[in-house]
Amino acid sequence: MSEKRKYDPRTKIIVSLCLSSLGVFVKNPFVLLGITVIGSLLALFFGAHLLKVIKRLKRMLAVFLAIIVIQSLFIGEGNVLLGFGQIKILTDVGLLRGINFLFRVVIILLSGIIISTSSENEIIYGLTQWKLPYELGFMTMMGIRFVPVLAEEFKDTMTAIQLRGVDVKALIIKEKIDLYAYILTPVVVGAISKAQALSLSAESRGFGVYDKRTSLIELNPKTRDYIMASLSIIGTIGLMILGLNNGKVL
Amino acid sequence: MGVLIKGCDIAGMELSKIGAEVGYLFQNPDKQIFATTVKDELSFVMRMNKQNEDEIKETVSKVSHQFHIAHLMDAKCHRLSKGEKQRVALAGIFMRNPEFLILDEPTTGLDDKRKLILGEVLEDVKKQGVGIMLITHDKDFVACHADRVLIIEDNKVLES
Repeated sequence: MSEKRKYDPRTKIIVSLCLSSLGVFVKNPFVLLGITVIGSLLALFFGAHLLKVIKRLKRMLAVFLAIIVIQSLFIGEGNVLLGFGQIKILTDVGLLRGINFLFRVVIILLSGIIISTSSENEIIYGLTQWKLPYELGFMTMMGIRFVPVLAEEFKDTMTAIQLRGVDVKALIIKEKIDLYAYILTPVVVGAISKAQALSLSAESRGFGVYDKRTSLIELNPKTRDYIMASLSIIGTIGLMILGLNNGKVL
Repeated sequence: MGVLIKGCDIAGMELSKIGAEVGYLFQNPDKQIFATTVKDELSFVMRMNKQNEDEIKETVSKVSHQFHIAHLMDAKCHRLSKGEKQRVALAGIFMRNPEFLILDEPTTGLDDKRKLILGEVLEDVKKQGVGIMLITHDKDFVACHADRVLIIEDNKVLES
Protein backbone atom coordinates (compact mmCIF):
# COMPACT_ATOMS: atom_id res chain seq x y z
CA MET A 1 0.00 0.00 0.00
CA SER A 2 1.40 3.41 -0.92
CA GLU A 3 2.19 6.00 1.74
CA LYS A 4 -0.46 8.31 0.26
CA ARG A 5 -3.28 5.85 1.01
CA LYS A 6 -2.23 5.59 4.63
CA TYR A 7 -4.33 8.57 5.60
CA ASP A 8 -6.89 7.79 8.27
CA PRO A 9 -10.25 6.84 6.66
CA ARG A 10 -11.95 9.40 8.88
CA THR A 11 -9.82 12.13 7.30
CA LYS A 12 -11.03 10.97 3.88
CA ILE A 13 -14.65 10.94 5.11
CA ILE A 14 -14.25 14.55 6.37
CA VAL A 15 -12.67 15.65 3.07
CA SER A 16 -15.48 13.94 1.12
CA LEU A 17 -18.18 15.49 3.30
CA CYS A 18 -16.64 18.95 2.80
CA LEU A 19 -16.40 18.48 -0.98
CA SER A 20 -19.94 17.14 -1.39
CA SER A 21 -21.38 19.86 0.89
CA LEU A 22 -19.71 22.52 -1.22
CA GLY A 23 -20.92 20.74 -4.36
CA VAL A 24 -24.51 21.01 -3.13
CA PHE A 25 -24.39 24.58 -1.78
CA VAL A 26 -22.26 26.41 -4.33
CA LYS A 27 -24.09 27.82 -7.35
CA ASN A 28 -21.35 29.62 -9.26
CA PRO A 29 -20.07 27.37 -12.11
CA PHE A 30 -16.52 28.74 -11.88
CA VAL A 31 -16.34 27.97 -8.16
CA LEU A 32 -17.84 24.53 -8.86
CA LEU A 33 -15.15 24.00 -11.52
CA GLY A 34 -12.52 24.95 -8.95
CA ILE A 35 -13.96 22.46 -6.42
CA THR A 36 -13.99 19.78 -9.13
CA VAL A 37 -10.30 20.42 -9.87
CA ILE A 38 -9.40 20.38 -6.15
CA GLY A 39 -11.47 17.19 -5.68
CA SER A 40 -9.68 15.49 -8.60
CA LEU A 41 -6.27 16.47 -7.23
CA LEU A 42 -7.22 15.21 -3.76
CA ALA A 43 -8.49 11.92 -5.23
CA LEU A 44 -5.15 11.46 -7.01
CA PHE A 45 -3.30 12.45 -3.84
CA PHE A 46 -5.15 9.76 -1.85
CA GLY A 47 -4.15 7.18 -4.47
CA ALA A 48 -7.38 6.84 -6.50
CA HIS A 49 -7.08 5.47 -10.05
CA LEU A 50 -9.04 8.26 -11.69
CA LEU A 51 -8.41 7.08 -15.26
CA LYS A 52 -9.93 3.67 -14.53
CA VAL A 53 -13.00 5.33 -12.99
CA ILE A 54 -13.36 7.68 -15.97
CA LYS A 55 -13.21 4.71 -18.35
CA ARG A 56 -15.94 2.96 -16.36
CA LEU A 57 -18.10 6.08 -16.32
CA LYS A 58 -17.87 6.49 -20.10
CA ARG A 59 -21.09 4.49 -20.49
CA MET A 60 -22.89 6.97 -18.22
CA LEU A 61 -21.78 9.97 -20.27
CA ALA A 62 -24.85 9.86 -22.52
CA VAL A 63 -27.13 9.81 -19.44
CA PHE A 64 -25.33 12.80 -17.90
CA LEU A 65 -25.54 14.75 -21.15
CA ALA A 66 -29.24 13.89 -21.54
CA ILE A 67 -29.96 15.12 -17.99
CA ILE A 68 -28.06 18.37 -18.66
CA VAL A 69 -30.08 18.94 -21.85
CA ILE A 70 -33.38 18.10 -20.11
CA GLN A 71 -32.50 20.38 -17.15
CA SER A 72 -31.65 23.16 -19.57
CA LEU A 73 -34.83 22.75 -21.61
CA PHE A 74 -37.26 22.91 -18.70
CA ILE A 75 -36.05 26.23 -17.33
CA GLY A 76 -37.77 29.25 -18.85
CA GLU A 77 -35.89 31.99 -16.95
CA GLY A 78 -33.13 34.13 -18.47
CA ASN A 79 -32.20 35.22 -21.96
CA VAL A 80 -33.28 32.97 -24.80
CA LEU A 81 -30.37 31.33 -26.62
CA LEU A 82 -32.53 29.09 -28.80
CA GLY A 83 -36.24 29.34 -29.48
CA PHE A 84 -39.06 29.16 -31.99
CA GLY A 85 -41.32 32.21 -31.85
CA GLN A 86 -42.69 32.40 -28.29
CA ILE A 87 -41.36 28.97 -27.33
CA LYS A 88 -38.14 29.11 -25.31
CA ILE A 89 -36.03 26.03 -25.96
CA LEU A 90 -32.74 26.99 -24.34
CA THR A 91 -31.97 29.92 -22.04
CA ASP A 92 -28.67 31.07 -20.52
CA VAL A 93 -29.97 30.28 -17.00
CA GLY A 94 -31.04 26.80 -18.13
CA LEU A 95 -27.64 26.14 -19.68
CA LEU A 96 -25.90 27.37 -16.52
CA ARG A 97 -28.00 25.04 -14.34
CA GLY A 98 -27.23 22.13 -16.64
CA ILE A 99 -23.50 22.81 -16.33
CA ASN A 100 -23.82 23.21 -12.54
CA PHE A 101 -25.59 19.85 -12.39
CA LEU A 102 -22.71 18.18 -14.23
CA PHE A 103 -20.14 19.65 -11.82
CA ARG A 104 -22.23 18.58 -8.81
CA VAL A 105 -22.46 14.99 -10.05
CA VAL A 106 -18.69 14.89 -10.68
CA ILE A 107 -17.93 16.37 -7.22
CA ILE A 108 -20.17 13.80 -5.48
CA LEU A 109 -18.55 11.01 -7.51
CA LEU A 110 -15.10 12.30 -6.53
CA SER A 111 -16.16 12.26 -2.87
CA GLY A 112 -17.13 8.60 -3.24
CA ILE A 113 -13.85 7.84 -5.04
CA ILE A 114 -11.83 9.43 -2.21
CA ILE A 115 -13.63 7.30 0.42
CA SER A 116 -13.17 4.17 -1.71
CA THR A 117 -9.35 4.50 -1.47
CA SER A 118 -9.74 2.99 2.03
CA SER A 119 -10.87 -0.61 2.46
CA GLU A 120 -14.38 -1.44 3.72
CA ASN A 121 -12.97 -2.68 7.03
CA GLU A 122 -10.95 0.49 7.59
CA ILE A 123 -14.02 2.65 6.93
CA ILE A 124 -16.26 0.59 9.22
CA TYR A 125 -13.62 0.70 11.96
CA GLY A 126 -13.17 4.44 11.45
CA LEU A 127 -16.91 4.98 11.79
CA THR A 128 -17.09 2.86 14.95
CA GLN A 129 -14.28 5.00 16.41
CA TRP A 130 -16.69 7.90 15.94
CA LYS A 131 -19.09 5.92 18.16
CA LEU A 132 -21.29 4.83 15.28
CA PRO A 133 -22.73 1.35 16.14
CA TYR A 134 -20.74 -1.35 14.31
CA GLU A 135 -23.92 -2.88 12.81
CA LEU A 136 -24.88 0.47 11.29
CA GLY A 137 -21.41 1.00 9.80
CA PHE A 138 -21.38 -2.56 8.47
CA MET A 139 -24.83 -2.19 6.91
CA THR A 140 -23.84 1.11 5.29
CA MET A 141 -20.79 -0.51 3.70
CA MET A 142 -22.78 -3.54 2.59
CA GLY A 143 -25.36 -1.18 1.06
CA ILE A 144 -22.60 0.57 -0.90
CA ARG A 145 -21.26 -2.84 -1.98
CA PHE A 146 -24.67 -3.68 -3.38
CA VAL A 147 -24.67 -0.85 -5.92
CA PRO A 148 -22.28 -2.74 -8.28
CA VAL A 149 -24.23 -5.97 -7.56
CA LEU A 150 -27.42 -4.31 -8.80
CA ALA A 151 -25.58 -2.94 -11.83
CA GLU A 152 -24.24 -6.44 -12.58
CA GLU A 153 -27.74 -7.97 -12.25
CA PHE A 154 -29.05 -5.38 -14.67
CA LYS A 155 -26.21 -5.99 -17.14
CA ASP A 156 -26.76 -9.77 -17.05
CA THR A 157 -30.48 -9.29 -17.64
CA MET A 158 -29.85 -7.02 -20.62
CA THR A 159 -27.44 -9.61 -22.09
CA ALA A 160 -30.03 -12.37 -21.59
CA ILE A 161 -32.67 -10.24 -23.33
CA GLN A 162 -30.42 -9.48 -26.30
CA LEU A 163 -29.52 -13.15 -26.61
CA ARG A 164 -33.24 -13.82 -27.14
CA GLY A 165 -32.92 -11.76 -30.30
CA VAL A 166 -34.35 -8.50 -28.93
CA ASP A 167 -32.51 -5.46 -30.27
CA VAL A 168 -32.81 -3.11 -27.28
CA LYS A 169 -31.16 -0.22 -29.15
CA ALA A 170 -33.83 -0.35 -31.86
CA LEU A 171 -36.74 -0.05 -29.40
CA ILE A 172 -38.65 3.23 -29.21
CA ILE A 173 -38.69 5.06 -25.85
CA LYS A 174 -42.12 3.70 -24.81
CA GLU A 175 -41.01 0.14 -25.55
CA LYS A 176 -37.78 0.69 -23.62
CA ILE A 177 -39.76 1.97 -20.60
CA ASP A 178 -42.03 -1.10 -20.82
CA LEU A 179 -38.97 -3.34 -20.99
CA TYR A 180 -37.33 -1.74 -17.95
CA ALA A 181 -40.60 -1.97 -16.00
CA TYR A 182 -40.77 -5.67 -16.98
CA ILE A 183 -37.31 -6.46 -15.61
CA LEU A 184 -37.21 -4.11 -12.61
CA THR A 185 -38.97 -6.47 -10.16
CA PRO A 186 -36.85 -9.56 -10.99
CA VAL A 187 -33.62 -7.53 -10.76
CA VAL A 188 -34.62 -6.21 -7.31
CA VAL A 189 -35.76 -9.70 -6.21
CA GLY A 190 -32.39 -11.10 -7.36
CA ALA A 191 -30.53 -8.49 -5.32
CA ILE A 192 -32.71 -9.21 -2.25
CA SER A 193 -31.99 -12.96 -2.60
CA LYS A 194 -28.26 -12.16 -2.68
CA ALA A 195 -28.68 -9.95 0.42
CA GLN A 196 -30.45 -12.81 2.24
CA ALA A 197 -27.66 -15.24 1.30
CA LEU A 198 -25.06 -12.72 2.49
CA SER A 199 -26.89 -12.21 5.78
CA LEU A 200 -27.08 -15.99 6.34
CA SER A 201 -23.38 -16.29 5.55
CA ALA A 202 -22.51 -13.50 8.03
CA GLU A 203 -24.66 -14.97 10.82
CA SER A 204 -23.30 -18.47 10.26
CA ARG A 205 -19.85 -17.00 10.93
CA GLY A 206 -20.95 -15.54 14.25
CA PHE A 207 -21.82 -11.98 13.21
CA GLY A 208 -23.33 -10.06 16.14
CA VAL A 209 -22.83 -12.84 18.71
CA TYR A 210 -20.69 -10.76 21.06
CA ASP A 211 -21.39 -7.24 22.28
CA LYS A 212 -17.84 -6.04 21.74
CA ARG A 213 -15.71 -6.69 18.68
CA THR A 214 -11.97 -6.66 18.52
CA SER A 215 -10.18 -5.50 15.39
CA LEU A 216 -6.93 -6.26 13.65
CA ILE A 217 -6.88 -2.72 12.25
CA GLU A 218 -5.55 0.06 14.41
CA LEU A 219 -6.24 3.62 13.39
CA ASN A 220 -3.88 6.24 14.73
CA PRO A 221 -4.48 9.62 13.12
CA LYS A 222 -1.21 11.43 12.49
CA THR A 223 -0.44 15.13 12.36
CA ARG A 224 -1.00 15.20 8.59
CA ASP A 225 -4.51 13.78 9.15
CA TYR A 226 -5.34 16.61 11.54
CA ILE A 227 -3.88 19.16 9.11
CA MET A 228 -5.80 17.75 6.13
CA ALA A 229 -9.09 17.55 8.06
CA SER A 230 -8.67 21.04 9.52
CA LEU A 231 -7.82 22.58 6.14
CA SER A 232 -10.87 20.94 4.58
CA ILE A 233 -13.23 22.16 7.29
CA ILE A 234 -11.73 25.68 7.38
CA GLY A 235 -11.78 25.89 3.56
CA THR A 236 -15.40 24.78 3.38
CA ILE A 237 -16.62 27.11 6.12
CA GLY A 238 -14.52 29.95 4.68
CA LEU A 239 -16.00 29.52 1.21
CA MET A 240 -19.52 29.43 2.62
CA ILE A 241 -18.96 32.59 4.71
CA LEU A 242 -17.42 34.31 1.69
CA GLY A 243 -20.45 33.34 -0.37
CA LEU A 244 -22.90 34.55 2.26
CA ASN A 245 -21.12 37.89 2.48
CA ASN A 246 -20.99 38.77 -1.21
CA GLY A 247 -24.09 36.82 -2.16
CA LYS A 248 -22.54 35.51 -5.35
CA VAL A 249 -20.79 32.28 -4.52
CA LEU A 250 -23.73 30.58 -2.82
CA MET B 1 -10.62 -17.40 -39.10
CA GLY B 2 -13.36 -16.22 -36.77
CA VAL B 3 -16.63 -17.86 -35.78
CA LEU B 4 -19.19 -17.74 -38.59
CA ILE B 5 -22.97 -17.86 -38.43
CA LYS B 6 -24.54 -18.55 -41.81
CA GLY B 7 -21.33 -17.33 -43.43
CA CYS B 8 -21.13 -14.10 -41.40
CA ASP B 9 -18.33 -13.46 -38.93
CA ILE B 10 -19.77 -12.84 -35.48
CA ALA B 11 -17.00 -10.39 -34.59
CA GLY B 12 -18.70 -7.03 -34.31
CA MET B 13 -22.15 -8.57 -34.84
CA GLU B 14 -24.89 -7.23 -32.52
CA LEU B 15 -25.67 -9.59 -29.62
CA SER B 16 -29.35 -9.53 -30.58
CA LYS B 17 -28.51 -10.74 -34.11
CA ILE B 18 -26.43 -13.62 -32.74
CA GLY B 19 -29.25 -14.42 -30.29
CA ALA B 20 -31.78 -14.49 -33.12
CA GLU B 21 -29.82 -17.29 -34.82
CA VAL B 22 -28.30 -19.21 -31.92
CA GLY B 23 -29.92 -20.15 -28.62
CA TYR B 24 -27.50 -19.89 -25.69
CA LEU B 25 -28.12 -21.51 -22.32
CA PHE B 26 -26.13 -19.83 -19.53
CA GLN B 27 -24.26 -21.96 -17.01
CA ASN B 28 -26.20 -20.22 -14.25
CA PRO B 29 -29.92 -20.06 -15.16
CA ASP B 30 -30.43 -17.33 -12.54
CA LYS B 31 -28.56 -14.99 -14.86
CA GLN B 32 -30.72 -15.98 -17.82
CA ILE B 33 -34.23 -15.85 -16.39
CA PHE B 34 -35.42 -12.29 -15.91
CA ALA B 35 -39.23 -12.33 -15.71
CA THR B 36 -41.31 -12.66 -12.54
CA THR B 37 -43.33 -15.75 -13.52
CA VAL B 38 -42.63 -18.66 -15.85
CA LYS B 39 -45.48 -17.59 -18.12
CA ASP B 40 -43.99 -14.08 -18.44
CA GLU B 41 -40.55 -15.55 -19.13
CA LEU B 42 -41.82 -17.71 -21.99
CA SER B 43 -44.08 -15.12 -23.56
CA PHE B 44 -41.49 -12.30 -23.37
CA VAL B 45 -40.07 -12.51 -26.88
CA MET B 46 -43.48 -12.92 -28.55
CA ARG B 47 -44.85 -9.96 -26.61
CA MET B 48 -41.84 -7.85 -27.62
CA ASN B 49 -42.61 -8.82 -31.22
CA LYS B 50 -46.24 -7.78 -30.68
CA GLN B 51 -47.66 -11.16 -31.71
CA ASN B 52 -51.33 -11.74 -30.95
CA GLU B 53 -52.47 -13.20 -27.63
CA ASP B 54 -53.95 -16.43 -29.08
CA GLU B 55 -50.72 -17.19 -30.89
CA ILE B 56 -48.70 -16.48 -27.71
CA LYS B 57 -50.95 -18.76 -25.61
CA GLU B 58 -50.73 -21.58 -28.13
CA THR B 59 -46.93 -21.42 -28.43
CA VAL B 60 -46.41 -21.10 -24.66
CA SER B 61 -48.62 -24.14 -24.09
CA LYS B 62 -46.80 -26.19 -26.76
CA VAL B 63 -43.28 -25.30 -25.57
CA SER B 64 -44.16 -25.72 -21.88
CA HIS B 65 -45.36 -29.27 -22.52
CA GLN B 66 -42.28 -30.04 -24.61
CA PHE B 67 -40.01 -28.99 -21.73
CA HIS B 68 -42.09 -30.57 -18.90
CA ILE B 69 -42.91 -27.22 -17.25
CA ALA B 70 -46.63 -26.88 -18.04
CA HIS B 71 -47.46 -27.25 -14.31
CA LEU B 72 -45.16 -24.32 -13.45
CA MET B 73 -46.76 -21.62 -15.61
CA ASP B 74 -47.87 -19.39 -12.69
CA ALA B 75 -44.86 -20.16 -10.48
CA LYS B 76 -42.43 -17.40 -9.50
CA CYS B 77 -39.15 -17.96 -11.33
CA HIS B 78 -36.92 -17.27 -8.31
CA ARG B 79 -38.66 -20.03 -6.33
CA LEU B 80 -37.93 -22.80 -8.87
CA SER B 81 -35.34 -25.55 -8.37
CA LYS B 82 -32.13 -25.51 -10.42
CA GLY B 83 -33.44 -28.21 -12.79
CA GLU B 84 -36.73 -26.38 -13.30
CA LYS B 85 -34.88 -23.13 -13.95
CA GLN B 86 -32.70 -24.89 -16.56
CA ARG B 87 -35.81 -26.14 -18.37
CA VAL B 88 -37.56 -22.75 -18.15
CA ALA B 89 -34.44 -21.05 -19.59
CA LEU B 90 -34.28 -23.63 -22.38
CA ALA B 91 -38.00 -23.25 -23.09
CA GLY B 92 -37.53 -19.45 -23.21
CA ILE B 93 -34.88 -19.93 -25.90
CA PHE B 94 -37.20 -22.24 -27.85
CA MET B 95 -39.93 -19.64 -28.10
CA ARG B 96 -37.85 -18.33 -31.03
CA ASN B 97 -37.19 -21.68 -32.72
CA PRO B 98 -33.40 -21.42 -32.86
CA GLU B 99 -31.54 -23.49 -35.45
CA PHE B 100 -28.60 -24.07 -33.17
CA LEU B 101 -28.12 -24.34 -29.41
CA ILE B 102 -25.08 -23.75 -27.21
CA LEU B 103 -25.42 -25.20 -23.73
CA ASP B 104 -22.89 -24.16 -21.11
CA GLU B 105 -22.54 -26.79 -18.35
CA PRO B 106 -26.26 -27.60 -18.29
CA THR B 107 -25.92 -30.49 -15.83
CA THR B 108 -24.08 -28.59 -13.08
CA GLY B 109 -25.96 -28.95 -9.80
CA LEU B 110 -28.55 -31.38 -11.19
CA ASP B 111 -29.26 -34.74 -9.54
CA ASP B 112 -29.53 -37.95 -11.63
CA LYS B 113 -33.31 -37.69 -12.01
CA ARG B 114 -33.14 -34.13 -13.31
CA LYS B 115 -30.22 -34.97 -15.58
CA LEU B 116 -32.38 -37.71 -17.05
CA ILE B 117 -35.23 -35.25 -17.72
CA LEU B 118 -32.79 -32.77 -19.29
CA GLY B 119 -31.34 -35.56 -21.45
CA GLU B 120 -34.83 -36.51 -22.70
CA VAL B 121 -35.60 -32.89 -23.50
CA LEU B 122 -32.34 -32.52 -25.47
CA GLU B 123 -32.99 -35.73 -27.38
CA ASP B 124 -36.42 -34.32 -28.39
CA VAL B 125 -34.74 -31.09 -29.51
CA LYS B 126 -32.17 -33.07 -31.51
CA LYS B 127 -34.95 -34.95 -33.31
CA GLN B 128 -36.35 -31.59 -34.45
CA GLY B 129 -33.12 -31.02 -36.38
CA VAL B 130 -31.64 -28.45 -34.02
CA GLY B 131 -27.83 -28.56 -33.77
CA ILE B 132 -26.53 -28.65 -30.20
CA MET B 133 -23.10 -27.78 -28.87
CA LEU B 134 -22.75 -28.98 -25.29
CA ILE B 135 -19.91 -27.63 -23.15
CA THR B 136 -19.52 -29.82 -20.09
CA HIS B 137 -17.28 -31.70 -17.67
CA ASP B 138 -19.96 -34.39 -17.24
CA LYS B 139 -18.49 -37.34 -19.18
CA ASP B 140 -21.44 -39.68 -18.43
CA PHE B 141 -23.93 -37.19 -19.86
CA VAL B 142 -21.75 -36.77 -22.96
CA ALA B 143 -21.46 -40.55 -23.37
CA CYS B 144 -25.27 -40.86 -23.32
CA HIS B 145 -26.18 -38.01 -25.66
CA ALA B 146 -23.31 -36.75 -27.85
CA ASP B 147 -22.78 -37.76 -31.50
CA ARG B 148 -19.33 -36.20 -31.66
CA VAL B 149 -16.96 -35.34 -28.82
CA LEU B 150 -14.04 -32.90 -28.71
CA ILE B 151 -11.82 -32.94 -25.65
CA ILE B 152 -10.20 -29.54 -25.21
CA GLU B 153 -7.44 -28.64 -22.78
CA ASP B 154 -5.40 -25.43 -22.70
CA ASN B 155 -7.08 -24.21 -25.91
CA LYS B 156 -5.98 -27.34 -27.80
CA VAL B 157 -8.12 -30.20 -29.11
CA LEU B 158 -6.68 -33.31 -27.44
CA GLU B 159 -9.11 -35.84 -28.89
CA SER B 160 -11.82 -35.87 -31.51
